[in-house]
Amino acid sequence: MRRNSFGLYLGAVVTSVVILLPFYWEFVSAISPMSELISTPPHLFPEHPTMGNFISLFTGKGESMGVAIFLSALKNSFGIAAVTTAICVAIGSLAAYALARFKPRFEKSYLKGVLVLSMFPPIALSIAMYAFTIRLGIYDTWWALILVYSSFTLPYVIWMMHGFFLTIPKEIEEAALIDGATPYGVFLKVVLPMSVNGLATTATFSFLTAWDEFMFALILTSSPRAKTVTVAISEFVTHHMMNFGLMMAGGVVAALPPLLIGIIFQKWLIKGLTSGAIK
Amino acid sequence: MERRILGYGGMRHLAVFLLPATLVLGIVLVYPVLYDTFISFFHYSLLMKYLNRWVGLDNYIQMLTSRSFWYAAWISGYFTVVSVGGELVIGLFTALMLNRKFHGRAFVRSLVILPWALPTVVNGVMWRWIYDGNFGILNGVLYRLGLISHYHSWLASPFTALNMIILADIWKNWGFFTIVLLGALQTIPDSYFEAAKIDGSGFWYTLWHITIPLLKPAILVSLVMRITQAFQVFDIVYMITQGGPANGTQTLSYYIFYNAFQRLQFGSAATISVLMTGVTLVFALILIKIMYSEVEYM
Repeated sequence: MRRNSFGLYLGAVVTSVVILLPFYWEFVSAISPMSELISTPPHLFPEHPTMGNFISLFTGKGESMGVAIFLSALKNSFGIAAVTTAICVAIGSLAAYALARFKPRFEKSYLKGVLVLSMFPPIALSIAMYAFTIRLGIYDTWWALILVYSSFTLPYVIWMMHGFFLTIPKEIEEAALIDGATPYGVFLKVVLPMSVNGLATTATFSFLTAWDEFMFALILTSSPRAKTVTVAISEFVTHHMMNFGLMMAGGVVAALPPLLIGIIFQKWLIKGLTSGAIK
Repeated sequence: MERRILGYGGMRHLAVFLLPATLVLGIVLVYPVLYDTFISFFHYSLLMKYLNRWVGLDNYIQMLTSRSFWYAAWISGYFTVVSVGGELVIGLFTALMLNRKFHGRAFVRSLVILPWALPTVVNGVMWRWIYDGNFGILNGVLYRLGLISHYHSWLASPFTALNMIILADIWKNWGFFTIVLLGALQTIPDSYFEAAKIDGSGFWYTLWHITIPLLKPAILVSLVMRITQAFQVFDIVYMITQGGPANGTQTLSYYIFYNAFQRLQFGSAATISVLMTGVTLVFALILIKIMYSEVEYM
């Protein structure tokens, strides 16, 4: 028994260290001046911690392309993720509700179809969407990314909310219908208020995946008006001599919203992750 | 059989509810695959459109006989098997650990979700910096511990670089398996394990003959999901090596990206996309089969 719990604690310590070390190094590098970053051996503790990297990130004082657009990239990421989430949660819940309550004959096949489609390789979609957004005149705008991001957000919302609607009792809705309410009124005034939990979980998850997205943003944007924060960070790597301190500072800022959500709304996230695999 | 609720207003309302989502899904998911399939039969370049012409199956023949295509396919396959395999094993053991009671369990459990919540791009630059040949912490620590005698360039040779990317990917994603499998473990009544203990079965016996069979549906579903994602890997490759050195980390997604957006050969890129989508379709059908047969296990 004693040997057992020793192994348990050893495992817990090793796990924690393995997880925390890279985070620690990311953070330390972000607050280290260049001179300490390029020293051998590396400084495990910063001797002269500085906010310099963060300041040049936001003021654009620095030579790198990525820096100049970092602030606008943050705004773009935030806006695109928020609008994508709002639209997909709205139209996805509508569809999910119809499937869960109207019980059309094709309910199951529709859900299966959505699942299959959502697994298609994003890079395969990007070829068509590149040509398509150019033809529509929305290439390099928020709308290009909002449209394309619904390819992964919408299927997720439909699946999650379908599962959720099945768990809420339908007696209240039926009573409202008998009282003469329309299905739209019932959905807006009865169902949505009862679904705040499910909607919040789904929205959190959708926001995170849209915030993290990189490949479509790389392909479908070309200027600061739509470039997202993930693209801005990638430009630190590709465009110029590598300023790792700046890159790590950018990484810390970009990681902050998802990490905070991960800590604060942990329960929702776990629910969002596991609901696919556990019934 | 569930009663159909006619009171909701029948087909007309159903159509209104379903239309917006179905329309968007059609545009962003169905249309692109049809488009890919269509232009895969053309020599199709965005640069010199006047040269675009119908070539039948030429693109397919060219791809299926090209070394670089099979090399990319091999890299994607290797990445998928090693990454997901590693994540599953580590994820399963951490889940088993977190299913036991100990001081600080809640803390470790909330740590596990953090790498998963980190954006892939940030994870990529972070590991690129860790692996840096001159100033990276990996060299620094290993050297100080006396485990290496000189600094290594971890990303300079193709196979090492590929494995280093896999390591970074495992670090980020094993938490997914931990969270899913821990969730599944918590649905198993303690009495199963207590009974096994009374019968005197050891850790490995219990794991193999009781725990894993009970976890099978959760393992299978999460496995197919992760395999699909890993097979489509792009972001972390772009951030750490950009497909190099010597195309040694060029996965299928990256190969498509290169053909489409650097060579501007949309026809060839679409051809690889169709082939890749075909493979993904197989994964998807397997997933559906597992999900809808789950009832048998429960």
